[in-house]
Amino acid sequence: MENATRRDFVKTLGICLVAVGIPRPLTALAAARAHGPVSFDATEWRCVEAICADIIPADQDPGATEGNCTNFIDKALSAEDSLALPLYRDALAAIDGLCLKAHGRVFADLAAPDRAHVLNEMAQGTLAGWTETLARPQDFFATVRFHTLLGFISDPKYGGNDNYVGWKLMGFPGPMHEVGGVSPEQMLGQKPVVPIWEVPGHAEHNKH
Amino acid sequence: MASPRQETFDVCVIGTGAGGGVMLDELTRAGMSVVALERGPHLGPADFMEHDELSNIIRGTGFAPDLKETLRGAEGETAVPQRHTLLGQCVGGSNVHWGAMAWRLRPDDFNVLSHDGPVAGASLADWPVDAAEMAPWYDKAEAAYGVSGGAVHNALQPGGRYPNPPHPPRSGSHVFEQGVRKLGYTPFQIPLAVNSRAYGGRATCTNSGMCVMFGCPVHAKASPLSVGVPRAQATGRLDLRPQSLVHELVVDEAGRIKAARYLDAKGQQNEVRARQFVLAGGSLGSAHLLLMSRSGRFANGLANGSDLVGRNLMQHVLPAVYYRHEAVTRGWLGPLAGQAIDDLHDSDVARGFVRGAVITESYPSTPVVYASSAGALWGTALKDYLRQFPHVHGLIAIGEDLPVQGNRVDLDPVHRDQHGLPVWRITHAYHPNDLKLRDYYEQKMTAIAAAAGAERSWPVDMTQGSSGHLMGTCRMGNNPETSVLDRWCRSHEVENLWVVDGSCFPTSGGYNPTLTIVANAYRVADHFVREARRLNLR
Repeated sequence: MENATRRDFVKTLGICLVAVGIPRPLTALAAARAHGPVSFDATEWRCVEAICADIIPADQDPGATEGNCTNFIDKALSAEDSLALPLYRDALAAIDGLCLKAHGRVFADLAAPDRAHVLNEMAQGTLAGWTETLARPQDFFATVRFHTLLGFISDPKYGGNDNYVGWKLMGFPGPMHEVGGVSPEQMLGQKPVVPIWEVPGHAEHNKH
Repeated sequence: MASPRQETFDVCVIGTGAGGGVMLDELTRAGMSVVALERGPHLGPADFMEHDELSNIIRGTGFAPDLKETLRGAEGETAVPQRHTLLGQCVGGSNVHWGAMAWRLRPDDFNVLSHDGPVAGASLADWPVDAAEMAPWYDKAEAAYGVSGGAVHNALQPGGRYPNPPHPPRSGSHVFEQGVRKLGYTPFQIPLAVNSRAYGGRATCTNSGMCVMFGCPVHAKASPLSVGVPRAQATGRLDLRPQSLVHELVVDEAGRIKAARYLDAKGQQNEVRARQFVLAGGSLGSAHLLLMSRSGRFANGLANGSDLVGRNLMQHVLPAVYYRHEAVTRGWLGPLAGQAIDDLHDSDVARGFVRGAVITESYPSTPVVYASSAGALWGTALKDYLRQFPHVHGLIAIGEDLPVQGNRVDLDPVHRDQHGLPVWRITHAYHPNDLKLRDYYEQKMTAIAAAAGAERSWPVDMTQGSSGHLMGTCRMGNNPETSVLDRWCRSHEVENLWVVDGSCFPTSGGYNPTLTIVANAYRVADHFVREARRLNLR
């Protein structure tokens, strides 16, 4: 499997990690959060959601679905990562197409072992029936993997990490400087740290 | 097109980072009129409150939204657009989002060529200054930046305590301490330019873990933004112009710089005149501007008779290891006030390479940075990797890399930025010595992890191939044929040009460079002011 680092992500998308001449990203994404899908249609959304759910599955803790990673990706593709939207469109169509051919169902409707098989092959670059020409299967996989990860653990204002499930999983309490920081006793674990989502009166982070 | 503000300033400072920030502070204090042109915006606490990992680390939009770079490994290759550096382009520069580790270079860091001899393929050179000359300027830099710590960090720097007491210990540091002591090393707290108490009119640290790559919303972390710029503004002699992108230095018939041309926030042309010009755009920015400033007299770029402008770009080599341990790190709280060891730093050719590195704790402190080390994991394996975050400790070595002539920044022949200016092209490949150094320290850090009781350890690339330590592109030296600047960071060829940032370093040293940039700037500023008073400067 290729080492899907941030740098590879950049190479894969062929973009520099700069805003693509859009309004300030924080604003654009925060505004987008109030709306439905802006990049994906219903079929594409289902496919992405199913892929994300396998990349970060639910187990005893919530996963990508609960974190709303698909929403993060949907909004990112309308903003900073808009250069990757054609890749997603084509790749999702290719994936559903080859699943229909092989199993008579789209990706999201496959049984779990079949989905795992498709993703494994995609990650290794050996996926039969890949018709996408903008990227190799392993490049698309690396892209959607990293997007899922970002969607799971980025600040919720970007549309993912819903209910802070990503930060809760990791034990990260959120941006403590927004609530005046912590004390030396808290740093040593002698007193508990109140995570941002439990801070009373912290409006932005108290939505859930 | 001349600016409506027609006055000729005493000094024009271009770039307000670690070097420029000191110059504009010291020169206004000495009574000079200073115009400071900074390409980035004047960010402040309100902006920093909004920053997060996506904006600052992944997308780079927090501090350098317009930055375009191209990158290649060697001459002859075609450079591709890629964000390589972790620069801050704002008032205060990259010095705003640094981790604040504040080191003095060791005595032999200033005379590597004499100490270790030439190395094939590298362009080693001695600095034109030594540790004894630098010592009082380090004192001044540490005082200005409120460096915190215990006894000064190694026996090579005699006497003295830091201006600020040490920060409270980290909850995971005892693991590192026990491990290194088992191996016979001596841990000490990393000297940190972050207030451990109220100091210098600035607040004490509030211990949010979002520190490196973030601006400090309470100004506890030292930078020109929190130290030099406010002081300079208080004198009334500083004309600070953010969002002013200098693209050319204009030379008169006598070969002196008469004006700096810049684009303002609206993209309009402006010009400012000054008697003296201090370039402080960083190793990439300063060289890039000199190369863009061609003329009849300077066909190869301003002040570039040596053909060395842009060359010898260094960025350190940064091996790192993560390890899992049952002790919780709480690395997501507090500044980078962990522990370090310098026992393995001494250059020793018997190890198979020259030069060395300091080793410091570097636990992952924020989610995306940590998760970026997960390689290609997905599924349950990725989830488990995320889940173990509280137990992941980290180590990094700041490895001295060797200067190589072919490692350079120049003007990309194809790619232009949104103003039509050539994008800077970075050519870089590590010297074999750098790779041997990297492998050695990776082994040593793995051994430290084992001694500390790690359940498992693994090497990581914390920089993801990019760099925040940029040095060397306008090296200082006594010989105009083998250097760009003299011992005072003044151009050998252009009498009113000074370059006061990390580009003056002939070699990179095995420590984060910022305190040395600040100390050197104080040294240069002192000389500059003395020269002005003797009326040697026109």
